[in-house]
Amino acid sequence: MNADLLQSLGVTLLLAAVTTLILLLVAPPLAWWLARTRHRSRPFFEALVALPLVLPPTVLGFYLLLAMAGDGALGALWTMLTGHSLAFTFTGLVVGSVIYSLPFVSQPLTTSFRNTDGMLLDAATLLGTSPVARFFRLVLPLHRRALIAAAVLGFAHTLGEFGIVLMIGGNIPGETRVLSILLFDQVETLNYAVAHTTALILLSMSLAALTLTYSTLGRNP
Amino acid sequence: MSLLVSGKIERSSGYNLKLDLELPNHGVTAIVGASGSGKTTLLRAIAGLDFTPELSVSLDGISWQDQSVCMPAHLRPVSMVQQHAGLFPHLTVLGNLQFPKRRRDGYALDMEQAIERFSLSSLLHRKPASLSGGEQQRVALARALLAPARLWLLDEPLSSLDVLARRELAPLLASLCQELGQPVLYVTHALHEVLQIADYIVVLEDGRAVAAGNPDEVGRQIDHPISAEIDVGGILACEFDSFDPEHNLSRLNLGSEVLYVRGDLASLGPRIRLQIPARAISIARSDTDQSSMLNRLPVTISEIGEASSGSVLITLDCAGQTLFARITSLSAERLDLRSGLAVFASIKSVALDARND
Repeated sequence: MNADLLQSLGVTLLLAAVTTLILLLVAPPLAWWLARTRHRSRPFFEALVALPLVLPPTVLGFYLLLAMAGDGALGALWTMLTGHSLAFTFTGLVVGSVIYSLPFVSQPLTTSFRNTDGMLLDAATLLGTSPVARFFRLVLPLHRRALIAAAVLGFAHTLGEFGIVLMIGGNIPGETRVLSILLFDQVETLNYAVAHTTALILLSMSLAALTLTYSTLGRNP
Repeated sequence: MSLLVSGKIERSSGYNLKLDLELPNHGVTAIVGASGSGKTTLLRAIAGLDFTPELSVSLDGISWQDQSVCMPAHLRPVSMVQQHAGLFPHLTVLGNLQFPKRRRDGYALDMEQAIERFSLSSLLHRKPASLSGGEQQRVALARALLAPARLWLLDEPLSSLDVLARRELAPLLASLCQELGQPVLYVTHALHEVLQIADYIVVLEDGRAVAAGNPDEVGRQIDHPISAEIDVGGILACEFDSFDPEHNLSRLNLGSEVLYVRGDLASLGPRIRLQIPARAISIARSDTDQSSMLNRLPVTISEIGEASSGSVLITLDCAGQTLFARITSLSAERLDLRSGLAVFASIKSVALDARND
């Protein structure tokens, strides 16, 4: 296999894995809050989380690029903390991917969490379980299918990211050049053989991920 | 020292509960009422499951909630069993039993005792979905007992079960209530479920406590012992005499009178309480006529209520105990019933059935 292709595949899988791990920490509490809260601000936060679903990735990428620039808020903070710039790095890509893929993990979880049987939560409370313990000991195990499905969906979605990577990642081999960017490059240089392989890898990984998602969600409890 | 519950609960639906109760902090308190009378609302408020800012609850002088404090539900020393078992579907029976967080103070039963008392040893590795309703409720009761508490709340624990499962579980529940040595609030619409073990009875109607007291006195307090759905009637304290296996009847003594009740009631102990719904009593001027009714008690009419919708409630004095009869106002007129009159109260034997539904 082409060395460029292997390298991009490595970057892509690592990016998707790291992004999914971070999302698995961030999304469940957020989704639980969105599913349970009656606070007036809920619709606003739901919209904010869902924004990447409707926004062109280049728009999100543009604002992230501004934020990550040396004089942007995020970029300046990051440079102060680490001494490096955030834009055009793998870490920068992770930040962008987490934001971009958040709704794909958070929304299925919110939907699933909304169906939590209140009787079971009451039962756990009556057995002396605190709200935090209830979340870990009851809610997460009850919704483990949705968690798996959401994680796979987040992973698959990150694999296919293009617009944001283009804006904030650039095209640095071994650092930020993911498969979708490589595919674009290969087509531009009329290298259709590698383009074919790249496209086929992306296609089969996505199909496998979605098949896994639907089989997990469809199984009887 | 006692369990104090006072204040009100108002719901946007228009439903409201208004109470000022001082309940004993020992023994079994039965809270009886028809559906919609506020029983479950009351228990959920005591447990802290619902936000009820206008209600004060305190146990033995320690406030659980009032205008200024509200102890979170998971910190309240209560254990509650609801109509539905509420078992965690992703855990086995054993996993459910191990779920309660161990608190510092002791608990009512240890794991081995709980498994033995509720005959759970063969079910331990099964998932709740594969259990029958009765089995699920047994697990729920055992699980509740494994969570230490200072107050046990039972919300119609038998109502979702079929008759067979109920008959099996009722005696076990009754003996546990008495053994626990903790106060128990037992909510039910079927007073007979808890009558033999109740030390105190509260009757709820439309969100108000219409009567509260010892079983002997509660009947006398109730202005209207029957609402549309619940017929508390009178409660008679009797003594068990003997069981006649040939006719499948238990003989009970009420002073010098004798009552027959279907089934062997020996296991209920020497003192037996009978709840006699007002609709189960009919009145006769003499005891000469033949009838299939076995139980016929000489009583004195102490009060005749106002007639409403063609029926009238009659309060009867039966050797110092109070009975109620609901008869048609036409019968009352034809029999020419008056206060102070000595008559006979016939009780359908089926109505005396202390244990069967």
